[in-house]
Amino acid sequence: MASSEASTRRRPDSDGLELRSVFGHAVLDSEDRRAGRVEDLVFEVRPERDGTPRLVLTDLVGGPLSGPMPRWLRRAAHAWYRLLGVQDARPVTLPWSDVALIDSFVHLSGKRSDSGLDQVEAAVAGWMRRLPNG
Amino acid sequence: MAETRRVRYTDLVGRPVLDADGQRIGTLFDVVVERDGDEAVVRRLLVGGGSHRSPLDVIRRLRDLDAIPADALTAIDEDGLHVRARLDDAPGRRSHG
Repeated sequence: MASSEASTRRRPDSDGLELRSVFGHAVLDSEDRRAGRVEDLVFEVRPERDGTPRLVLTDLVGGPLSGPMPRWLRRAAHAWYRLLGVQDARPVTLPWSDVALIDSFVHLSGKRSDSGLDQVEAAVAGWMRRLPNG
Repeated sequence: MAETRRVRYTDLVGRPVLDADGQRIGTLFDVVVERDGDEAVVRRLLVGGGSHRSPLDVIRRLRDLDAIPADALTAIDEDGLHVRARLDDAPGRRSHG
């Protein structure tokens, strides 16, 4: 691996991680298979003893329908997913601790099938299998 | 004591950041997280003058970001993020670019 590439790889708990370097980036699972994008991140706002808030990054959100969109478009997307065979398309929330590494991609420590991040691709693959050969 | 609640990154970014007098310091551009034991804790708020909603605005403001320590945060409500600092002497303000 080139040293310049190595220098850009970092663990998710590296000090000084700006979250714009994660937001919107493609996600790869432990087998380097595409698992969507980072559509959002979730914090817990925990009140300290003096009442001031402490923000703790807890989750990553990906999968279908996880990004902001108008209600009509969300309904249309739901209908489209149902046509594909995904009956209950919904965003997937993963614990931040499942993120193993961050470089050009966000690498997960587990398989995408374990977290449901492959639901749309699995449905499309099912359709592809039904198509007649040649 | 208030209860723990959850908030999304997309709901925070672009929100106004207000000083102790309620004056607008700027808009939240990003947050910086650091490890604290087993957790990833927000340590700095990166605040700029624009809305950061459009790409042009991001480019325009990228060099004008200030970093405010997250422990200066006093509240997050419908008005925005409230910090202990005053507009003129916000602690830890620095050029980002």
